[in-house]
Amino acid sequence: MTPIDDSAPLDAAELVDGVPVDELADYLDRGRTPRDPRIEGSAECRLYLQALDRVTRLSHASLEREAEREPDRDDIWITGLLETIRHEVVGGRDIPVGHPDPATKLSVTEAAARGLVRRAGDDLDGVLLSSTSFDGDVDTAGAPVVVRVTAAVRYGLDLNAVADQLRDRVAATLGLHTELAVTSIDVTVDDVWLPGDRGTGAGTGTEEARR
Amino acid sequence: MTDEMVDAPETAETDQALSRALTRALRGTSGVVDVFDAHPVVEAAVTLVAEGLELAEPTGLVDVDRSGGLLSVAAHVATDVAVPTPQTLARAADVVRQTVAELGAGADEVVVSVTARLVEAPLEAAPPAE
Repeated sequence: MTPIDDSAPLDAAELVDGVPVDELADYLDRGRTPRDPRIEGSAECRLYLQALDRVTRLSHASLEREAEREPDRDDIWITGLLETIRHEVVGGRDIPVGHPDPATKLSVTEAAARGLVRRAGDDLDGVLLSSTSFDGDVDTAGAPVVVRVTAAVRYGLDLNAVADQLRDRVAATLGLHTELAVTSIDVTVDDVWLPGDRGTGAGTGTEEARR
Repeated sequence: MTDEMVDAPETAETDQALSRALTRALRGTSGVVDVFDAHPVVEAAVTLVAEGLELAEPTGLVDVDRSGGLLSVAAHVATDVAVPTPQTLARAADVVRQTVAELGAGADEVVVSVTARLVEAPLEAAPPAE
């Protein structure tokens, strides 16, 4: 028999597909073992884990250091980022994929496409995406769509070059995995990371600190 | 009692077997990393409870629905980031149609829907259960 849980019910804002975000973070920390079928059977949880894993790997050391220096600001920033990711992983609209047989309907969810954009950005050296969105009727084949991304970028990088690289990568991944008619990709850099002077940051070769 | 009501349990059993067969077939499809539950949320919850109470045989993850002579099959999958997702989805739809035909699902028309809900590298998934 299941013991009675007398703790306060979780707010929906703390859940991803019914799973508490803290539980997902703990699960990721444990290396996703033992395998939890409830989490692994949820596309939303898997998308959240993907993004959380990249954020954690990129920023763990620097966030710890910054937390000592500016605990309030850092906590607000990371909390805001995780909240944005939590919203992005919800299924959203279906993006149609063409098929010659009208009795066959293929699609990619908007959340999966946003996950691709986030992956493309986060995999770029010195870049961490803050948010991603699609403007336009993504559920209508051929309708023009504008992709908007905001990013935090390591200090010292050429922002125009970073924006160009980001556009190229986003266009490439959406072109490979969807049939979205992307008309433009708008990049906004809304934060800057300062390179640190010790250790190694994941994927960058230098430890990074965000200010 | 109508003939349709008499046949209903047998049809449901057949559709559950079809769902399980489709789930297996999709898991073996190139470019498909995983298969998610495509049943409507309430139905999936009821099934989960019934399976937990051992009142029902585990059902497949693919949603199979009949309406008149129409058989609707809906599948939700994770696709491999290294393979173009439209190709994978088309392949998955072919596998669904082939499996339905092989099992003789007995429908005049079959509508197939395949949705990619996640695109990831196969190695990103958790290790399989022991």
